Amino acid sequence: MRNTTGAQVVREDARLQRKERVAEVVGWVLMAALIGAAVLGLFADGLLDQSESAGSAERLELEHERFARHGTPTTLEVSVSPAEARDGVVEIWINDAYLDALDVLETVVPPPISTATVRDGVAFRFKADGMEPTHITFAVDPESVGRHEGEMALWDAPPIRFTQVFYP
Amino acid sequence: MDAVLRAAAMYLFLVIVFRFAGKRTLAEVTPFDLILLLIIAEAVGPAMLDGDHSFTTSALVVVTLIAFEIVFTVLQRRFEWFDRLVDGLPVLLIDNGELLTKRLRRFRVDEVAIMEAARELQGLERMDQVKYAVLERSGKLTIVPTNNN
Repeated sequence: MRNTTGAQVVREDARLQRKERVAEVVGWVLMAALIGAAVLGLFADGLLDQSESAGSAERLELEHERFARHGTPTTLEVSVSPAEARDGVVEIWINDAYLDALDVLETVVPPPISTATVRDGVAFRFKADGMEPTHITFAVDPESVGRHEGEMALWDAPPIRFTQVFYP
Repeated sequence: MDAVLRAAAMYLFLVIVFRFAGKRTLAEVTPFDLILLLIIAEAVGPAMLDGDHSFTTSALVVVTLIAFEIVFTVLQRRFEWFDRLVDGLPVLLIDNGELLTKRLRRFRVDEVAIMEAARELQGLERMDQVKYAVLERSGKLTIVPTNNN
């Protein structure tokens, strides 16, 4: 620290300045790390973000984002094997614990022909032609912040599990 | 409750981020500083309101922000360490006419900015007319001219 009359003009503190410098550098590193993580998709929309889960023999496939943000819709893309259609219908069950973490189930495409509350969850039935895979999109709006375990099942088959983190 | 928590969290977040950014950030030196300030205001608004455009929520957010500002200023007056933590201290950039170049680099200030402040504040024409240049806590520059100016 310079010991000059300039020090009488302002009350300098060399120790504080050094600490400030260290804190600034740490802050810059954290900001750069945050931006890097965001670019990679740690906060949704990026390389780290996409995830796929599949039931046995690919009868049910689910694509979803690992990370989503409160108030910003995200989608669950479901694909069901044509062999799973029963009388022109497929049934997808989603657990209540996951659905409760959502503010609203924004849209379901195609619209289900029926919904029912079964087995601690909701069963959605959709038309299926039995020739082509059935593609269903659930657009969801995350509400509850934190890590959430979801379960999705085809008819009465064991559910596939997926995890999403909802940021505030 | 949610509005209050969001406003409080955003206030603290901004205090921390701007502390890391350094004194010169948002000192409103250039038009771009003002634009940046406006853009930041636009970015944080929706996060605090969370889609709720009611008068009640807006009023709660404003009151929370002002309350935090009052609490911070009271704490800063009361505790010197807190004051230094939040706002830092002024820094000498020119000492008895001598440019402290390391500090100029450290605080991202150049001679052009110092001369601009010298002209604006003191009507000075040359660098050798500046005795002291201080980077204040606000990020603004203040100039003490030499005795014969």
